[in-house]
Amino acid sequence: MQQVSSTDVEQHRTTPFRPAGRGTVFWLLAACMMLYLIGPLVYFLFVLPWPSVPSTLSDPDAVQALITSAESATIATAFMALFGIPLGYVLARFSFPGKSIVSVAIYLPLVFPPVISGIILLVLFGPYGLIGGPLTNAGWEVDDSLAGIVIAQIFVAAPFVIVAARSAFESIDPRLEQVAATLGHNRWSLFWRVSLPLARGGIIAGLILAWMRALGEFGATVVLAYHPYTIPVFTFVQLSSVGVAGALPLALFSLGLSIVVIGAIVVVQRRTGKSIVI
Amino acid sequence: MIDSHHAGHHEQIAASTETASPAADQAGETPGALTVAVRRELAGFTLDIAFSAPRGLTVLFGPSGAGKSLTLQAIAGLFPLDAARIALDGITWHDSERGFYLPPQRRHVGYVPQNYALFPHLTVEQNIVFSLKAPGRQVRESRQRVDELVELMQLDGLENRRPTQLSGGQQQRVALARALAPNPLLLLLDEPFSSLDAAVRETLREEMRALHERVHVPIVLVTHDAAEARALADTVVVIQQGRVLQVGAPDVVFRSPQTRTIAVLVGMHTCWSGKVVAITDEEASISSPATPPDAHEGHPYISGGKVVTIKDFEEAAQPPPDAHKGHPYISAGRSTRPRIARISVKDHLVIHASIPASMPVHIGQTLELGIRTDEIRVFPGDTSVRMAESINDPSRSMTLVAGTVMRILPKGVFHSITVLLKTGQTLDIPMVAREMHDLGIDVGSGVMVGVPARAVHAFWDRE
Repeated sequence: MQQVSSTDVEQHRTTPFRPAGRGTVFWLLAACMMLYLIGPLVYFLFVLPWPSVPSTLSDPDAVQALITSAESATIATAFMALFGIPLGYVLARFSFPGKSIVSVAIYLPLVFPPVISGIILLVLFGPYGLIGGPLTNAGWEVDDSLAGIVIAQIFVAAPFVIVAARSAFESIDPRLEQVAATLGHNRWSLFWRVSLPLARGGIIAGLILAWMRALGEFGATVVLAYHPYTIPVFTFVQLSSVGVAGALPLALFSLGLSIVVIGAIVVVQRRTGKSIVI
Repeated sequence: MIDSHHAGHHEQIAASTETASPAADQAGETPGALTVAVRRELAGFTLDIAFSAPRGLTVLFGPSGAGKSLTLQAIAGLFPLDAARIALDGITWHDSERGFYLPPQRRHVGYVPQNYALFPHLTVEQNIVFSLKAPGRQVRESRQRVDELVELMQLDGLENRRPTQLSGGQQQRVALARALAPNPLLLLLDEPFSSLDAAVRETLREEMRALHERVHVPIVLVTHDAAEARALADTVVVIQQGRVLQVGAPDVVFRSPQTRTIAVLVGMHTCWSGKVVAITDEEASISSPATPPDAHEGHPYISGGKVVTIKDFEEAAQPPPDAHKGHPYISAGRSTRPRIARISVKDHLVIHASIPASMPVHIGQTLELGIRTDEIRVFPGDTSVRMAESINDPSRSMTLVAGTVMRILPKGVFHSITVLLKTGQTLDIPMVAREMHDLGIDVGSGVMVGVPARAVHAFWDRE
């Protein structure tokens, strides 16, 4: 995650630096990468069976999957905000034994294969798991339920919130909090009046990314809660049963949503003057 | 010229009486309103500050990295300490021995950090009332308080601006208003003028002095600027490398630094070492200028009443027999009055120095000499000893040395002229343009430099 102030960008723009050479090698390699990323998307739009898009998307199963996805991702994001923002604050403002271990641990879900995350969660929350067992006996099934989807999504997407919040809190001038303290505010009061308002932009960007990651979660979800279908699981099911043609309209839907979310993040960044890239 | 004689004489007496006061302070006879003793070991740096200052404007002065800002934060309770005793007006804020620590939000200090730290997400008005929104504080009169502070700090019309829409000077005033809003017991200002333009700085420095007189809040202010410290302070605390070097009134600290290190810090850049060759009672020499006490035959010394010339030097460098019969010189410890010492600096220069009554000196002692270059007088090169004598100050204890102007450097209102003395030393003397013009001074000009005894601050370096 990187923070670039707008003044840095300004200076960069107004300082023409032109060493000898046209950078041909860089341009060639960069063009390959750009083509690889954008090409498939463009081709995908060409091969899409456009006439069948409305009917596929209005199919009751698809609509139900969409509702499940939106519900679960939103609930998961609410939990991530409630617990992830405080963890980001603690990591930014306190030192404690084992802090470096925690700092590394929060990145693990990002590098684990999602299926492995799902298996780890299944061991704990599954019908025979330490937590899942008693819950299942009490009639609260975690696996194959909305709760299971939410648990899988939180595990995989929480790092986005924690890292964004930590970075946003760390970028606040500690003098502001010190001055607030001398003006009679205790930690709780200055968190709400100074730290949180100033970290808002970064945290919102983190929450949007986390919501998007939760929405697209497949690997862990499919292990812990195959049912009810979320959009990614439903898309996979369509791909297996109907084939590519059945999955393509759903893919279009996900693609459109991604573009909207990236646009939202850009707007947040423009507003707060900070660049948040994970 | 007659006026300046009087003024000169006056300053001399004033300076010598003031020198006695910091000793009294250090002996604890006048317990300060603010007592600070803080200690913290950091990697490669130890903060070990102890001072006590009366109510008023206390300036923590020293080079950057000396620990001034950390001391300020420690007073506010924002910097963790290994050991501390901090008290204001007899009320303890921190006493590590008794395990007592008052958190910053309960100390009621107004802290203004170097960058002002205005809350960027709040308007000017919201910044000012911020303290009134703290838990347990009364919000009732906030409207009235804002109006008072807006008026006091001249912020009319800026209430709804954001900090980024303000000039540096305006930001500073908002930060002060915010700090003053909850009626603090103490104001802590960290380099309040450093990020401002020179012109604005001058104005705000005067405003600060005026504000201090209006609000009656004791202030601790951090600066690395000697002129600022001298202009603002009631008490100066000189800090270097995490330690207090000297505490005292600005006139004492800046005119009579205790060590060579402090002398350099306070801008007394010309420091020489020398050996005391004679001591005379200052008032005796003033009252009887016509009869130099050492006029008797065979006596090798030049009195305070006579100007030292280069020609005279060879004789003057001889060590004096102090206990000589009828000898007018007063030896160490016996005098309660200021004295004039003649001090032999290497390279054939003998210089007169005013010695405060409190300072014991004896013949043969090595002293450090700090030259207050702003008190040096410059005469045209063809000035005779007799002429200089006639326009000399009443104490007649001026050292007159010939020299050549090597360089003229404009420094604001003053020009700094560098004079190479015939005896080998150089002096940077501040002069106003008019004076330079009147004397026809230019690079290469021959001049006579008159160093009055009061311009020479003699001290032992206790380092």
